[in-house]
Amino acid sequence: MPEPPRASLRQILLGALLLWQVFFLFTANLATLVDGPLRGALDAIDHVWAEVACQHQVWGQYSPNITRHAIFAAVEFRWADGSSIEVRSESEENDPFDYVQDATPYRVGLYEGDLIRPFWDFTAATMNEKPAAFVAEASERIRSREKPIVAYLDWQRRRFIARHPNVAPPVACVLRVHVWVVPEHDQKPWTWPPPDDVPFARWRPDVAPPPGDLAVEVWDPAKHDFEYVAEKP
Amino acid sequence: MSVVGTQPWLPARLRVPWLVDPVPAVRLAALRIAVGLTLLGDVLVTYVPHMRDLYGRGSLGGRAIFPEWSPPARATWSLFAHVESPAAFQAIAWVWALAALLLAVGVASRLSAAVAWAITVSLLHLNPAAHYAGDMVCAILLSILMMSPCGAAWSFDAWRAKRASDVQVPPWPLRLVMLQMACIYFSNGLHKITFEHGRAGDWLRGEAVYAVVANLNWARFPYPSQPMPFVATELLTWLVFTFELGFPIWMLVKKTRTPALLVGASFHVGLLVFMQLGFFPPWMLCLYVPLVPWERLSAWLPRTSRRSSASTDP
Repeated sequence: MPEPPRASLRQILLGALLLWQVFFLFTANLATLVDGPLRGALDAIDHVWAEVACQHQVWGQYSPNITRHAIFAAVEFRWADGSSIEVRSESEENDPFDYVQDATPYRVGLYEGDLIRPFWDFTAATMNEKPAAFVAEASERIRSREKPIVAYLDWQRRRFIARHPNVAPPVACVLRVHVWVVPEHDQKPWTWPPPDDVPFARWRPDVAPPPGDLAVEVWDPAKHDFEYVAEKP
Repeated sequence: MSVVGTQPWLPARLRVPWLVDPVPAVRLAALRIAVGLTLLGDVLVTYVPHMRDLYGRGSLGGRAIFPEWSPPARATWSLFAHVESPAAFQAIAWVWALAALLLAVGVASRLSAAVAWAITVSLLHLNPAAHYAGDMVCAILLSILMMSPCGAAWSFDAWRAKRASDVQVPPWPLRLVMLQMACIYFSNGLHKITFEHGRAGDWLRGEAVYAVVANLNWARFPYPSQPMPFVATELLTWLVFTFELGFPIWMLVKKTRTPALLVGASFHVGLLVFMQLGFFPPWMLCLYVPLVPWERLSAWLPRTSRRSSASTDP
């Protein structure tokens, strides 16, 4: 191949960017497959570019295993007189045997799913069997998602107040989870058992948490009550 | 035949035909149109109805809600980090949709891609919990388009410049798309290889597709109404697993390339029909668009119209 004419600065910059991007693709994807010091080193090289250029290489959908739970967020509003109302997610269908999902509520559904992720592993039965394991995992989720959980419960609360202007504002918002366990493929007849409806977290807008604790409380199945989550484990 | 766009400088060892020989501009144009239309649909369907829920004062998003996704914790950025007004975010969504439309039509193609990319990244970083892998594919494709001569053919820009559609462009944008595609599939395939306590994971056991299509979170229709017996879901599981893990090989071997791409594209069409995964299937299908030999269609169309007009002559 004949030697090309002298490269311009534009060509050199574009070539450098191209070579970097290829290097980045290989190293950033390798980083998701390894652990230990190598992963740390690769992350150190790649994370700034991944974040500045929004090139996050996280391609492990439905891997390594797939949950057998369909989970939907719900919010229970509670009043001082003991009354309560539960509001379902727009993503949860009324009839599991008769529906067609469209993409409109998809992003809010993603957000909700991110908050309640521990229920990929827990049902009402398993959280009662292993309450300490549930509290540990749920508390960790609350620590990492405290602000989004408060934002979600407050958003639902304001929507409720806007729709019911004559009703007193609720004093507590409980994030609940509807857990549908996917039937085994050979189950006869193939049918959905009723979903679990379990509490996960509580936020009381007018109650300040004790110093060192988060504003969101976690459900403790052993105590059958909510308890505060420490900011640091 | 003229070449539009900058040919990057590469070290001598890398000046191989795959990286330097120009390719028909219509392939890049097809990618631009596909990305523009997919983004337009995504914005109109999944963002516009919920913009005030996702962004602005009292919403589910913002830097105060996701501090771990914001500086100084990360190198992320957002043009709208200090925007609070819900009305402003609604306006941003419409500007975004307009940029997507202009990109599809090819008006100020690279600028439109850059505007769409900047808005995409800015919004993603303000509410990461409402985003997913499809949005990453979107951001990556827009970043490639905004740096490439994506308006060289099948665009208003080309029409205004009186440029013929048989021009060529440097191959690097399409090669980056192919490498990204290989990384997505191969990485996915590797993540699926699991043994826990000596027991194979869902993909190796053949149960993964059933677990997905029967799940209310993801199934577009109820599982009993889908014409898919369990044995078909088992076969599909192994087919997807083999396709993903072997993707680099399928692409390197000429004989397997086209069948593998047909399998991949059919898989994403199937996802689009049977699953509710937002715009993930269309975004993945965008990766396949530049692999279609559009130049043959481009050469065929004028002949057809000539034949057509000749046949209507009296």
